Amino acid sequence: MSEKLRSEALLEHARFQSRRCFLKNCSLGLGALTMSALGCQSGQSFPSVTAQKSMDVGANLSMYPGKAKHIIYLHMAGAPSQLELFDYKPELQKLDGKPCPPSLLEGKRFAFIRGVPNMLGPVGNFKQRGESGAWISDLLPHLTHHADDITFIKSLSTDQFNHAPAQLLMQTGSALLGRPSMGSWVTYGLGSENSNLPGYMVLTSGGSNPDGGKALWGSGFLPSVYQGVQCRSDGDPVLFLKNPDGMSRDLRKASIDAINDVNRLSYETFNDPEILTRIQQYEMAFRMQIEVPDVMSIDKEPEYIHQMYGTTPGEASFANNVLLARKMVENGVRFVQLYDWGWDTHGTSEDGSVDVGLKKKCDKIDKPIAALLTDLKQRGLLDETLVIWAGEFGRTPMQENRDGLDLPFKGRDHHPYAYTIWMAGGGVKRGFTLGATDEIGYYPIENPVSVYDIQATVLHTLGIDHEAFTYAYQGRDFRLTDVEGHVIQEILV
Amino acid sequence: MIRFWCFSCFLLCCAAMLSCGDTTLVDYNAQVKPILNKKCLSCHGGVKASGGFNLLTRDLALRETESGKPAIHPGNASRSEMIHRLTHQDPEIRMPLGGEPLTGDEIDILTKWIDQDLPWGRHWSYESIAQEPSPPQDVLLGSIDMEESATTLDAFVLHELQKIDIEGLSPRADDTTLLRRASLDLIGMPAPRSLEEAFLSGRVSYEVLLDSLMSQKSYGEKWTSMWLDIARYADSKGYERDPHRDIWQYRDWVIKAFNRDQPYDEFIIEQLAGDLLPDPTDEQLLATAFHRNTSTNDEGGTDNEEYRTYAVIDRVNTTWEGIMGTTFACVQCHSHPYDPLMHEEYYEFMAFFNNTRDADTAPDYPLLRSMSEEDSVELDKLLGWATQQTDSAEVQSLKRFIKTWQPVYYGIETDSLINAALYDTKYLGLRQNGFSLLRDVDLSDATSIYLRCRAGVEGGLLRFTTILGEEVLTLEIPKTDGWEILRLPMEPFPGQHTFHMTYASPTIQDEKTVGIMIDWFGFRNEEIPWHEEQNRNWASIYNDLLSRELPTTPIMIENPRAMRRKTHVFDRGNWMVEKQEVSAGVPEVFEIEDNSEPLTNRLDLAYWMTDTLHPLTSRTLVNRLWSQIFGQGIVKTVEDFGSQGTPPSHPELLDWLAWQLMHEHDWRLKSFLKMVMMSNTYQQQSIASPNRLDRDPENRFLSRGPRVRLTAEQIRDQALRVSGLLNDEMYGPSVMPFQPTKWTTPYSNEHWIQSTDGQEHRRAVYTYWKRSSPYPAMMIFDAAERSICEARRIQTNTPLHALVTLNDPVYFEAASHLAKHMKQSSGTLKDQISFGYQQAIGHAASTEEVSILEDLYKNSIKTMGDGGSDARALSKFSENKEEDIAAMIVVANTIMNMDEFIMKN
Repeated sequence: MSEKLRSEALLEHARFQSRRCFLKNCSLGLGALTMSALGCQSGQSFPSVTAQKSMDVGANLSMYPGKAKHIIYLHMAGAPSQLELFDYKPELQKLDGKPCPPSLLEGKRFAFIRGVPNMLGPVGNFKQRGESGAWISDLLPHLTHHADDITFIKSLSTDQFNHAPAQLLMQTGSALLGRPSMGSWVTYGLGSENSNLPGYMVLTSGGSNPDGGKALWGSGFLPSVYQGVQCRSDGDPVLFLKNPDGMSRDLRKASIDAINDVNRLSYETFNDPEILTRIQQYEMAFRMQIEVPDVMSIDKEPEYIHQMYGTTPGEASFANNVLLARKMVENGVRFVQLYDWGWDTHGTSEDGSVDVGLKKKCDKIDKPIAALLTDLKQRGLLDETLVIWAGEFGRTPMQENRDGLDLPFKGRDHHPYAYTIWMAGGGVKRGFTLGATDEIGYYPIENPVSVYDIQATVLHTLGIDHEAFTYAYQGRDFRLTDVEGHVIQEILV
Repeated sequence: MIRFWCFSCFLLCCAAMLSCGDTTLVDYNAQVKPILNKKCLSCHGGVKASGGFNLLTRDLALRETESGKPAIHPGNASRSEMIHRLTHQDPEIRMPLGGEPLTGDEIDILTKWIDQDLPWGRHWSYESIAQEPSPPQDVLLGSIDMEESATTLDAFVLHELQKIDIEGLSPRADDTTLLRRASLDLIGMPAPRSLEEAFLSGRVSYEVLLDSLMSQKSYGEKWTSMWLDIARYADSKGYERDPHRDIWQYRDWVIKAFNRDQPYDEFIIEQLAGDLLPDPTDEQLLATAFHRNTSTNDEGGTDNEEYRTYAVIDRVNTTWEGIMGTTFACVQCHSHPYDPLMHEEYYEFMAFFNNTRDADTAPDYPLLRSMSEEDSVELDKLLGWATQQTDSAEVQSLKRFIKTWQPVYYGIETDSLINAALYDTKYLGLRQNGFSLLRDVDLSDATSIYLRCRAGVEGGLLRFTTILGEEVLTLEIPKTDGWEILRLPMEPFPGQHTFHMTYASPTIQDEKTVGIMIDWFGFRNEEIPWHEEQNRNWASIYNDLLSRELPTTPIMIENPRAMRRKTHVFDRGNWMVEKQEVSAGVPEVFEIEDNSEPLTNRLDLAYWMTDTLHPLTSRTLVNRLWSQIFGQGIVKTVEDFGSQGTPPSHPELLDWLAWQLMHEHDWRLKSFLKMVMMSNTYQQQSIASPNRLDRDPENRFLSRGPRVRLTAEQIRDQALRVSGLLNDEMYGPSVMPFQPTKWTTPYSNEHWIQSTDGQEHRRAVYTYWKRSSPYPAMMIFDAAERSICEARRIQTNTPLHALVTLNDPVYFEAASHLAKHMKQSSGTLKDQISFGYQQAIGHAASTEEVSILEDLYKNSIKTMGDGGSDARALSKFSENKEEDIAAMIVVANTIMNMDEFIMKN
C-alpha cells in the first residue's frame, strides 16, 4: 500500500477513534498499529506514537501463537557464580589450590587474573533435586523444590568479559551503547495488555543500578515510548505520578478536564489530529495516577503472601520487587525486568566473595524466587509467563589473584566462556537441562548456545520470529539478534 | 507446464517488442535502482554477491560470475542471463529465489535498461551541486500565481503544491503567532518582553524582529541544543561507572560559534581538525573536543585498545551520519548493501581518525589545559624568553607540551609485566624488581625524560635498557608528594627502541609494595639550558606552569611520525581479526575531481567535506536546519540521504537551498535562516483547512505553517521564561536542576546534588548530562541519550509527558511564579486569568477559555474550603499561602499544560 494511503488510513483512525474504542483496543503494539493502518484491525498502543511518526516504523512481525504472554526477567547484575549454584564440578574440588594449567590461560584475557592463578573448588554443597535430578546447591534451599519446574541452560557463553558491555549484550544484543533493549523490542511488537500501565517496567534492588545503566532498558532507535519505565520503591513509583502536595484527586480531575476542554477548542481551530491524541494521553495519565500506585503497592497483600515471599512493605528489596513483578504481570504488564546488584564475587571483600557474600545474596533471592514460581503456578499464570534468571557471564574455575596478588577471600574472576542461566514457565520444558560443560566448568562441551540464541528463543516463546521482527533504521533492517541467533528448539515444549 | 512455457515466451516477446519499439530512455535512479534495492541487492549487493553476481556498481555488474560468464550483456537483454533468470518458469531457478517473481513492468524496465547499454546513474544525493538550480519553470512562465512579495523559495513550494491540486499557500499567520514561532525557532523560547512589545506595536518590522532575535545571546544556546545531539555531548564517560568528564568548554565553544555566526565550513574544519591548523588557538583546539565526546570505559580489566577502537569507529560513524547524512556504520562489517560504498573504504576512511593520541586512558588524554589570563601572560613571557634561547620549532613544541602534555607515552601502554600491574587499568605500578616492556619508543636524541608519577618510597631506581641489554639510563626516583612531573636529564641515545623498564628500591622490604605508579613519560630534545643557574627562575616558572592543576578538556592531537598508527581492514568488522593495511582515503564515489592532491590527514578530510562540490555536507545541513524549523526535513530521514532514505519531498528546493547556503550566504547560518523565515511558506498559518488536511495530511508539501511539539529543551526554557524564573547566565560547568531523589544511583560516589542560588533555573542546554541516567524530564520528551550520534529525534505523545508538566516540581514551581505575576496584575479575576494566558501563550484568551479557567479557579477555592485540597501545601513555592494564590497556581499549572503551550503553532 502506498505511503499516502497508509497515512490517510492512520489519519482517519486518529480522527474518528472514540474514547471507548480507544480503551478497548489499546492493547496492541506498534507493529499491530502499522498493520491496523493496513486494514487489519484498528488498534492503538500504550503509549502511542504520533500518527505522523509511526509511518516510519517498519515492523514486520511474523506472528504465530506464542506460549508466553509475559516475561519476568531476573537479572543478577555482577554475574553469580554458576560453579557454586548449578554447575556441579566434583573434579574441580580435587584440583582446589593447584595451579591452573597453562593451556587454560594461553591467549586468554581476564578482567583481573594475572599470571598463573590457582584452581578453586566449589564452595556450595550440591545434591540432585526433584525427579529431574537437576544439580542445585544448598545455597538455594527453597529453589531446590522447583527443580522440576525449570529448564537449566548450562552451556551459554558470551564474548564480553566486563559487566557493562556484557549486560548490554544480554539485554540489547550489542555490547555497545545505542541499541533497543529486549523489553523495548517486545513492547514495540506486542504492546501492553493494560491501557493504564506501561508495558515495560523495570525494578532495581541491591543498592545500585546495574553497571550498564539506564541504557539497559533504553529504547535505542525505537521511539522513546518503548523505554522501560523504571519503578521506584522510594518516592513516586513512576516518575512524577503523584500530584503536587495539597492537590486533591478531584481538583486534578477538574484541571485535566479544563486542559482538555481548552484543547478541544484548539482542535476546532487547528484541525490537528495530534491534539486529540494529547487529550487522550491526559486522560490516561489521570487513570495511571490511580492504577499504578495500586499495582505498585504490596500493602494490601495477605499475610501468607508476605510469609511466602519474605516481603516487608515499604522496604527496598529484591523480595518486594519479585512480588511486584507478579502483580504487574497479573495486571497485564508485558515485560517486567528486575535487576539485583551485588553479585560480583571477586574475593576482594567479604561481601564480594563466594564463601561469604554469595551466601548472603542467595539468602535474599532464594525464598522470593521460589515463592514467585509457586504463586504464578497457583494462579495459573506460569503457563503464560516466562521467568528468566540470568547473570551477564559466569565466573572462573580459578581463584582470582588480582594484580598478581593473593586475595583475602575466596573469589572468582569474570568468565565469559561458560555460564548457567535458567528459565521457567511459558513455552519451555519443565525439569530439563540443556548442555554441559567440561570437568572443571571452563568450556561448554555439549549443546553450546550464544546470547543471541537465548534472545531468539525468548522472542519465540512470545510468538515472534526473531529473523522477521525488524525495524528499519539508517537504511537497514535492525533486529534484536542482529545477524545471529537460533531458536533453541530442545528446550521448547 | 505448457502454460508456464507460454507465459515465459510471452514475456520474452514483450521484452523483445519493447526493446525494439520503445525508445524512451530508462531513468536509472527513478526506475531501475528502486527495483534493484527491493528485489535484487539483498543477495546480489554489498553483503552477499551470491553466485559471484553483484549489482552494486556497473563495473561489478559486468564482471564474470561464478558460472564463468557475466550475467549481463550490455545492449542485449535477450542474451543476458539476468533476464533469463527473472523470467524462468522453474521457481527453483527463477529470481528472486523463493520470492515473488518480478512484475511485468519491472521486467520491462530491467530489459530496456540492459538493451540501452546499462546506463548507470549516481544516486541523486551523490551528485555535486555544480550550478545554481533554477526555480520551477511554471513560476517563470507565470502559470503559478505569484504574489509580488513571494520569494524564490515559495516558488519551489508552490510548484509542488500545484501537483497535489492545492492552490497557493495558506494565509499568513497573525503577528502574535509569528512572533512566538520565530522566537521559539531562533532563540528556543519566547522573545524578551521589550522586543515583543516593539514588534506587536508595529515599531519594528518582522524583518527587524528576526535580526534582533538572531543577535540575542540565547540564539547560540538554542542551536547548540541541536548540535549537541550530533556531537553526542555529555558530562560523563558512558560505560560502567559512567564517571564525570570535564568537557563543558566544548559546549561553550559551540554556543559562541553559533553566536558569532561562524561559517559552517570553518565550524566543521575546526571540530574535525582544529589541532592540525597552523599554530592553532586554544579555541581551535577546544573545537576538536567534538570527537572526544565518545564513550570510554574505565572499568578494571578492560582492553584500552578495544575501547579506543570503538571510539574511532564511532568518530567515523558520527562524521558520516551527523555531517554527511549517510549511514556508514553498516560498511564496517561488509560493503554497503545498497549504496556503492565498499567494505575497505570504511577502513580507509577510518585511517583519517586512527592516528590520534587518545588511548582510552582514565584521565582522557590528550587534554587541553586551560590557563587563566595571568597564567597565559606568564606563559607568553616564558615563550618570549625561550625564543631567544632556541629555534621556533622547539618553542612551538614547548608551548604544546605545557598546554597539552603531549606527545607522551602512557604507562598503560606497556606490557609483559612481572611483579607489576596496570592498576585498575589506569596506571602502571611497579613493585620491587618490577619489570615492564615499552615498545617502539622514539628517543630522537632526547636530552630529558619527563615522568608523571607517584612514588611512595625513597631511593627508587628506574632502569631503562634496550632488549639487547644496552643501558639507556637509570633514574633516581625520590619519594613524591602525590602526583608529580619529574624532569630528569639523560644522555642522548639515538633511534627508536623497545625497552625493558625495571624498578627497585632498597627501602622496600616487601615484594608486594608498589614503589612507583606511572601515568606517562615523555622524551624531549631540548636546546634550552633549563639547568643553568642563571635560568633557574625561568625553569621554575616552566615547572610551575607545567605541573599546575588546571581545568582541562579532552581534545584531538595527532600522533607524531614515530608514534604513527597503522590501520587495517577488520575482517567482518571484528577488530581482533586484522586484514590488509590501508591508507587514508575517501570512498571513490565521493572523490572530487578537482582535488589532485591525495588526502592524507584529518585536515585534508575536513577541507574535502566542506568543498562546495561535496554533494552531502551542504544538503545535510540545510535539511537539518529545515527540519528544526518545519518539524521534518525535506529528506525526512535526516540521517540517511542514501538510496534507502526517504526521497526528498522538494528535491530542487533542497539543492537550491544548499546552493544558496554555500554561494550566497558563504556558509553563514544567520542570513540563511533569515531567508527561510522571510518566505511566505514559513509565515503561513498552521491552521489546517479540511481540503489541505485531506490532500497533505502530514504537511509534507507545506500546504500550511508548521505545527510541531516543542523539544525537551524548549519546553523547559519556555516554562522558566514565562514564569520569570529563568536565570540567563551563560557558560560554565553543567548544573543539576531538580530531579527526583535517588534517580541517579551510581555505585561510584558521584551523586546528583541539586544546584541552588538560581543555578537550578538555568537553560536546558546547561543541564548536567549523565549518560547512564540522563535527566528524566527531558528524556520523557524525547531528548537524545547522547551515547552515540543521534541525527533525528523521533517525537512521541505519551501520558508520561502530561505527568511531567503537571507534576514535576520544576514545572509546578514555574506555575507558582506565573500565578504570582497573575495575582499582581491589575483588574478582575477574569483580567488576571487573561493576563496569565497572554503571558504564557502569547495571545489573548477567548471568552470561552477564560470562563473555563475561571470555573476551575472557583472549583479550586471550593475544594480547599471542603478540605479536599490544601492551600498551604499547594502554595509551597509561594510566599503567600492564601487560598486565592493556591487557586491561581492551579490555573497557571493548567495554562502551562495546554496544547497551544506545548506546541509551536
